[in-house]
Amino acid sequence: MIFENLLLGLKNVMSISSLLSVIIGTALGLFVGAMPGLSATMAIALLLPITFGMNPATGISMLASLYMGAMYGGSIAAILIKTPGTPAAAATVMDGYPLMQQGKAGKALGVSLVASLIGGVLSSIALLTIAPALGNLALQFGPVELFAVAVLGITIIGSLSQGSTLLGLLSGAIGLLLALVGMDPITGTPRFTFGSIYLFSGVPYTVALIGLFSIPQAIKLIQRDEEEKKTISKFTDRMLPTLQELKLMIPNTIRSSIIGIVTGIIPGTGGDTACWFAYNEAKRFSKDKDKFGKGSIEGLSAAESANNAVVGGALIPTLTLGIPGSSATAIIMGGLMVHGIMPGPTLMTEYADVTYTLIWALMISNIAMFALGLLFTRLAINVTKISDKVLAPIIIVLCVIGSFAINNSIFDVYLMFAFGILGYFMNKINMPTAPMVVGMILGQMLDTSLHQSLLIGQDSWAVFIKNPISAALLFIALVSILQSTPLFSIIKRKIKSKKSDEALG
Amino acid sequence: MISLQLCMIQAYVSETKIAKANRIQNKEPGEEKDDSEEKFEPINYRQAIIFTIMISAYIFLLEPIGYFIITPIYIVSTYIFLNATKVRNIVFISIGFTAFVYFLFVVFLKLPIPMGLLQ
Repeated sequence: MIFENLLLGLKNVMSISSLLSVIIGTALGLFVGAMPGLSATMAIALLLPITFGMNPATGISMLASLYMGAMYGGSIAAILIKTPGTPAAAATVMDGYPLMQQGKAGKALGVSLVASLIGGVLSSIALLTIAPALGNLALQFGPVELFAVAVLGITIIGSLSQGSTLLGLLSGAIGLLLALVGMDPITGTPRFTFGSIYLFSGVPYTVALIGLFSIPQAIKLIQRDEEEKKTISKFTDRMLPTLQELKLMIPNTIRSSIIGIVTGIIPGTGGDTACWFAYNEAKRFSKDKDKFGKGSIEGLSAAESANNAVVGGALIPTLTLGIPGSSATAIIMGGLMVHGIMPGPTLMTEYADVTYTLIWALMISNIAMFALGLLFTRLAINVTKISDKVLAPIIIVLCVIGSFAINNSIFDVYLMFAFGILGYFMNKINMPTAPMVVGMILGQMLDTSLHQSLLIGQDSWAVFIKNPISAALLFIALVSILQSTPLFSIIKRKIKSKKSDEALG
Repeated sequence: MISLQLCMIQAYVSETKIAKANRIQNKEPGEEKDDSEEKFEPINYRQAIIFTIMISAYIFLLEPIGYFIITPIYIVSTYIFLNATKVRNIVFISIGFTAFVYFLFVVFLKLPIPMGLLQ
């Protein structure tokens, strides 16, 4: 069954329209990643409405390949102008920029491209093998387990995302509340609609996504007084690393890729966590630690392979359980839902054609990224010169048309703008927006599964504790909240002091 | 089956903690510096507020006037206000970009876009 689906996916992705969409997606990602003002998440959100007209597999493949391309694109700006093009390229700056100063910009970009390729391919393989297995497991989940999965998803994302746990959980809770707006999925009673018919079908999270990730970015681009002139020198040296350098890179990139995949699987931790994690590990294992921070090829390849490996990893929980691992995968999930495909266990069976096409598309996008990287990196440098003030209104225009196109409703455009302003102030107080989006997406699942479980349990909440899987998942959710409260650190300190007492005594 | 799952989840959570500990450690060299840089960046409030007001005007006039008339007007006025680029580029970008959106959304994707006065 799985093997058949694998072949089916491969066949689908080899069609001209799919290949073209993968190539266009990767190229867009490359350029967007290279522009420091634009994040991959924003680009995926803006591209989302365009994919509505395509068939689901092609559209989603395009979004995923953009994500992959942007992960390499981010390193271009990181290496050349010391500004990470995407947050996930932050660790690339550490060794990439020193290499540029030594006049080895081409080499640095080449190393980063090869490392990205290895990371991306390994993570695609992980997705191809882990996702079907996990999907099979998830097929046994009923509403009781799904409720627990949703709770776990929100608490983990809330407590792990950037910034304080309290703000993260609060953001997740707001998202859950927003998901409750509209008609009750089971009884059909309208809730929190304030009598407005626009709100009967709920707050469309795709609209919220576009607003939250694009408007604050656009305002941020223009709020500075004078932007510093970006001076970028062209590079002349060869990009492809030599065989000797490759030998140095390979064990390192494989380790970093595994780190990237694992970090990607955990909801709430994304490329930025993975690249620092891998960079540190590479430093720990390296023979010449002194070179780190001064243009070490090992450090550069570790950071770059890890952030590409995150892409495949983050798609694993998204596709199998319906828990998006990052804000970028949350949008990809939104894209699936727009096409009427509910992410979750059925994705591996009912919609196997879409899922396996997506997985293969991710694999192909690595090859496209490598080829386009070799051809267009020199061109992408020019993109980094575009002024922020020129970009900002263009982003706004795209947001407006995108949010309008989702439901052909002008109300959605106002809603998008309102979310944008909300997002701007959330950024101001360092409140992460990703948990809110995930809350909005998981809220629907939570709502339905809670209602169904209570029907099963005859209105008794004990149904969640009696079921071993849901009990375990809910317990982990509890731990993930508790571990960030003062209670936990007090216990830790006590254990520590006891140990030191024993050592002294 | 359940025990397998529990194992998996245990690995998951312990990994989570490692990642978190690592992130906290790692904040010191790079990230925190970036954060503080961003915090102390002077914000031109006047510019940000007027930019936001211009967006609201744009979206409220969208339906009565029509997307393909109001968009070039919005782009041109924003560029002039921000003093973003040369006049030649302003004209080129505003017309070129509107045409691009027209071909992508109306001709290629056939989505209904508010035409307003053009209808």
